[in-house]
Amino acid sequence: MRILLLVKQVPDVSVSGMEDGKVPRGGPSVLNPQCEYALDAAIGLKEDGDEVVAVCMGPPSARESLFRCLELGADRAYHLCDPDFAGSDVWATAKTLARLVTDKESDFDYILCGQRAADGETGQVPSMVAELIGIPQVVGCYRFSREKGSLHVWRERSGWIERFELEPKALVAVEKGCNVHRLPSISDFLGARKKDLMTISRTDISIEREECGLNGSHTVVKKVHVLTSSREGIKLHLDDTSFAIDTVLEAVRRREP
Amino acid sequence: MTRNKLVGNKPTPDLSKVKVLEGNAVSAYLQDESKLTGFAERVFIPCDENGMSSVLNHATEKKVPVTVSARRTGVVGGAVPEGGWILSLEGMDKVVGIGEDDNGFYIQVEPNATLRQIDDILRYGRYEGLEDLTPNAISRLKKEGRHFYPVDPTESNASLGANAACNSSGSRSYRYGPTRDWIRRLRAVLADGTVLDIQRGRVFAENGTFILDYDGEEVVDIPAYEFNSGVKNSAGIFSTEGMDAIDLFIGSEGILGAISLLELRLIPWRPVLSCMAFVPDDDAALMLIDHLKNLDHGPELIEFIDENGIRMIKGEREEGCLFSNMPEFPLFPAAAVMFDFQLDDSLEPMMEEIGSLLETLGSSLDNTWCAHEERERERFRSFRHAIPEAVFSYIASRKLHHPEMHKMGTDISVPDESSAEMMGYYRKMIAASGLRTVMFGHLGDNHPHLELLMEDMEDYEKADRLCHNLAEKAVSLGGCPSAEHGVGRLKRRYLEMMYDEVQIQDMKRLKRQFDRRGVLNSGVLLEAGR
Amino acid sequence: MKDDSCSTCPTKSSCAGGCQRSEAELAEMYDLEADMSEGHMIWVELDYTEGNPTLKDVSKQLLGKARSFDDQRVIGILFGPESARNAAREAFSYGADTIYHVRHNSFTDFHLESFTAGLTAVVERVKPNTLILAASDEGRELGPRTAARMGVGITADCTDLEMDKGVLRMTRPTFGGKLMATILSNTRPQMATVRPGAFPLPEVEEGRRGTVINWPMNPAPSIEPLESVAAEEGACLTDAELIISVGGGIGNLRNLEMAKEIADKLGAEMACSRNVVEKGWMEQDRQVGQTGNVVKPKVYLALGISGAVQHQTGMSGSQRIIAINNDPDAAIHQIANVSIIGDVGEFLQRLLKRLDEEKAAEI
Repeated sequence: MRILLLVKQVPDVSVSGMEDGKVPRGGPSVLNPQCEYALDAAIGLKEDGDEVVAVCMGPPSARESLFRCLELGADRAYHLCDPDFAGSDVWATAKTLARLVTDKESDFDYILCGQRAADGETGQVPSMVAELIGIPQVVGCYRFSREKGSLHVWRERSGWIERFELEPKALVAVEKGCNVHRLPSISDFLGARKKDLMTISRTDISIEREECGLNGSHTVVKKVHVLTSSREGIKLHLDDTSFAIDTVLEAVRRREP
Repeated sequence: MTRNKLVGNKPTPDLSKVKVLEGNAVSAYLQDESKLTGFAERVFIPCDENGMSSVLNHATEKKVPVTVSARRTGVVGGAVPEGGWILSLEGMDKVVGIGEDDNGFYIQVEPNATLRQIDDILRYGRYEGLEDLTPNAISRLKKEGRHFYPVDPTESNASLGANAACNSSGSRSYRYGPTRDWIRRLRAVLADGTVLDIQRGRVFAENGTFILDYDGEEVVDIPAYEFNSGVKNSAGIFSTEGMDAIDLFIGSEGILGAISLLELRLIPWRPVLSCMAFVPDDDAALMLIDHLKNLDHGPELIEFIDENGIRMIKGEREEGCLFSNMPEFPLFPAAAVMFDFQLDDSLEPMMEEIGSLLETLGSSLDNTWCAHEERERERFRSFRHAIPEAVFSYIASRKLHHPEMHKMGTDISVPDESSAEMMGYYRKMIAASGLRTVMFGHLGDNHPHLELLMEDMEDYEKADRLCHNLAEKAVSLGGCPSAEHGVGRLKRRYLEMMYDEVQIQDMKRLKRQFDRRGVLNSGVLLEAGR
Repeated sequence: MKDDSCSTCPTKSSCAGGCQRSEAELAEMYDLEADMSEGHMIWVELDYTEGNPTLKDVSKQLLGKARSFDDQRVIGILFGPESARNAAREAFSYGADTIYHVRHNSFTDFHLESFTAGLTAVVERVKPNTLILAASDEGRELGPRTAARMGVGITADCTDLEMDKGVLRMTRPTFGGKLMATILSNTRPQMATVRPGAFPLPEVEEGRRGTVINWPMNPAPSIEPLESVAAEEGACLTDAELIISVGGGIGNLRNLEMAKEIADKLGAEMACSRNVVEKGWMEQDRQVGQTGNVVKPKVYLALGISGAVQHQTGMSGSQRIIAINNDPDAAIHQIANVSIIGDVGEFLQRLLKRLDEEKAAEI
C-alpha cells in the first residue's frame, strides 16, 4: 500500500506571543496540527512493505515539517518549493499538489491529509485536490483501520458515526486525532537524515507559471482591516476590589443583559 | 582619573510622579513565591529612575526601611517586606533598545522587564518601538539574524532586574554561565538616591577599595574574602582582587543599590537538538552524565531526572492531570538525562558514541526522545518544569492535613571533583532519613534539586534536618547551599554556614558604606542592623 | 404532460408539472444566452425532519442576502425528490425568483458526487454571476469540489458579503485574530461559502411567486457509509444559557480544574478556544469559534481568552460577555460588556472562595 500524505507548515500558535491573538511574524513554524493527526494515521496504517510519501508545498522552512514526517515514519518526501508557487490561493495550491501527484506518484493507493490548516482555516484544499485528481473523498475522519486490503475510516456527522470502506484511490481528510504528539528518538532523527527529501521546483512538474502561485490564483485579497468593537463595556481591575467578583456573580446569576 | 573611582550623580528629588498605595492596596505586595507574608505601610510606584532615586532619598531622610519589589517570583522572601515601605518597580518594565559594540549586540531593559519579553522580541523580530542605542543597531541585528540572551532561569516571568540582583542561573548556565557574565552595563540607585552608571571593564578595585565620588570622595572597602566562583553560587556579595565594580551590584540581592537599568549581551542563535535519554537506573544516568561532561564539544546543558522523578511523572500522567500530552516513556522504570547539542556536523559521530555507551548502560538510542523544532523543545522545557509543579501539588495535598507544612527542597552545588562524594552522601542520608524524595536538575553543574515528599510533620522535621546536613556537607566540600535561589530572608542560616563572622562583618561594613542608615532591603542577605 | 423538449433540462424531455414554458420563452425571459453572467445562485439546503421538506435557516439567510445585493434575479438550486418541490414556495417567499429543482428520489440525503455534477451542470447552463453555499459540513465539501470542477476560485467561511456593481466582496477572518480580509474573485461565478448565522433571517414575503425549473438527473456513483450509528450525545453548547469558556491564558490544568468546579457549582457549560483543544486539555466538541460551535448564551464568561476573530465568530452573539484577561489590550476586552484586567488563576481562586463562603453561610 502506498499512502501519500499531504501536509502543510503553519506558524506556531502554541508558543508565547500568541496569547494576545497577534500573528508571530517570522516566528517558528510547525507541522499543522491536523496534518500531525494525518501523519499519525498514515504511520498507524503502515505495514511491512508499505510506503508513506509526504508532500508539502511551502517556503524553505517547510522542510522542517517534512523532516518531522520522516522522523516519525514517512519513507520519502517531496518539498514543492519555488518562488513561482508563492502567493497561491486554495485553487492554485490544490492544482499544484494535484499535478505533483499525477506526474510523480500516480500509483498511490490513498491520499491522507489534514482537513484544515491552522492559519488559513479554509479547509478547501483536500476536496479540490480530490476533484482535480478525480477520486472520491471522505472528510472529517478520526479513526482508521485496514481490513483485507481496503481502508476503513470513521467520521462523525450530524450526530451519526459513519464508517466507510474505501477502495484504493481515495482521499481521506483527517480532522481529529490523539493530542499526545509523538517524540522521535535520536535514532529516528539520524535515520530521517538519510531518507530522500526531494525539492521540487515548478519546472519539475507539468505546471506553467501562469497556472500556479499568485498568477494562477483565482482570488485576490483586496484589503485587510482591523475588526472594530461594537460593545461599550466596563473595565475593572481584579486587584483593586472584590467588586469584580460581585459584578461577575451578579451577571452570572441574573443571566440577563 | 583613577581606575577605581565610581562617579555618582544625584537627581533633584521629585516625588510628584510617583504613585503611592496605602491601606488594603498594599496587601498584594506582601508575598513572594516562598509564600512568606510580610507587612508594610506604603507602596511607592515610580515610573522612572528619578522616581526611584526620589523614593530612596526620601526613605533615607526619614530613616524608613525600603524593600524593592518587582514581580515577586523569588522563593527566598527577598521581596517580602518586614515593615516600612515597598519600592515597586512595576512601572519600569520597558525594553528600551538594541545596541552594538565590539563584543556584539546588546539589549537595554528597565528592571521590571522579563526574560519572556526579550525572548518574544528576539525570537519573532518584534523590534517595533525599540530604540537604536548605536546607529542602525536594529537594522544591523535584523540583517545578522536571530540572536538570543543565553541565560535561561526557568521562571521566565521573573524580572531581569531580579535576575541580576540574584545572579540567577538556569539549565544553560552549564555552557554559558550565570547572569553575571552577560551584564554589560547597569545603573544602580543607592539608598540616598545617588545614581551610579557602571559599564563592565571601566572601573576596577585597587588595593581592595573603590572610591565613591559624589558630594565628596569616600573610600569603599570590598570584603577581604575570595568569592567562591568555582561552583554555582548565589550567596553573598561578590569579591575578588581587582574586581570590576559592576560585580558588586550583581548577586548582592539589592542591598547595595537598586538596579534601574540593565544592558544584556546577546549572541547569535544556533539550532540545537534537545535530547532526553532514558536509562535503567540512577547509576546509569550518573555514568552517562559523567561521559557527557567529558566530551570534547560537550552539550549546552545537562539535566537529570531520577528514577523517583520518572515514576512520579508516570503516576501523574496516568491520573490524567500533568504531562497529559507526553508520550509513553520508551523505557520504564528508568532515570532520564536531558542534554542539548548544537545541530552541526559533529553531531552524528557524537551520537554514535553516545549510542554505544547507552548500550553498555542497558539502553539505546531508541530509548530516547529528541526535539529540534521550537515547539517540541518547548515541550521538553515544560516537562522539566512540571516536576517541581507536581511536587508542589503533592505538598499542597499534604498541607490540607498539616497546615504548617511547606515545600522543602535543596539548591546545593558542589565542585566537579566532589560530585561523586556528594552524591554518595545524598544517598546515604536519604536512606537514613527514610524520606521519599525526587531528584532532578542541573547535574551538569553538580547542582541537582532534591525535593522532599513529606507525609506529616514528623517527616517535615526530618526533612529540615536532612537539608541542613546536606548543606553543611556541601560547604565542607567547597560547595554552595544556595546555588541559584539567593539568600533572601529565608536562607540567612546558609550564609552563616559559608562565611565566618569576620567575612560577614566585611559584608556588613560594605553595606553600611553604601547605605549609611541601613534602609535598603534591610534584612535581606544580612540580618537587619543599623 | 407537454411534449416540447426543453434544452434547459439536460434530459431534453418533458417537465413533470414543472416548467411549462418553451425553451425560447425561457431564454428570453431569463436572458440565458447573454454573454454577461448575471443573477445570484444560492444552494438551498433542505431539512426533512418534520417529514415535509423545509428550508434550513442558513438558506433563508443566504436568499435574503442575495436579494439585497441588487436587482438581479436570485436563483435557488435545491436537490431532492419530487416532494422537495414544496420547498420552492418557501424559497420564493425568502427572495428566490427561480428555483432549479435537481430531482431524484435518493436526493433526500447528501450525495457529494451527484450534487457536484448537478450543481456544475446547472451553473454551466445558467452562468450566474455568483454562487453562494452555506459553510455547513456539506457545503464545505460541495463548494470546493464544484469550484475545482469548474476551475474557479472560492472563498470559504465568509462572515460578510457585499455586492459592488456586480463584484462580490467576500470578507472572512484571517489568521491572527483582529484582522478581516476582503477577497475578490477573478473568475465567474464568484463562489463563496458563508458561515450560518452571518446574516439575519429575512422578512417573509408571503405570496411571492417564482418559477420552478425541473432538472431530473441520475445519481452519479458515490461512496456510501458501510454503517451509521447514532453518536453519543456530546456537549450541547448551542442551547446553553451560561457558558464558562477557557483560553490559552488559563495557564495550567489546576486553573482549568477550578474553572470546571465553578461551572459545576453555577450550572454552566464549559467551552474553550482552539488553543485549549490543541493542548489536549479539552475535547473538540467544546470548542467555540469559526471551526467549532457557534453559541449564543445569556452570559459568556471568557477566562484567559484573547478573543481572536475566529473565536469571536463563535460567540459574538452572546447577550453578555464577561472577560477576564491580564492583558488589557486583548481583543476580548473590546467586545466584552464587563472586562476584568487581572490574573485568571487569582480570579478563579477568589470566585471559588466566594462560592464556598456562600455555601458555608447557607449551612
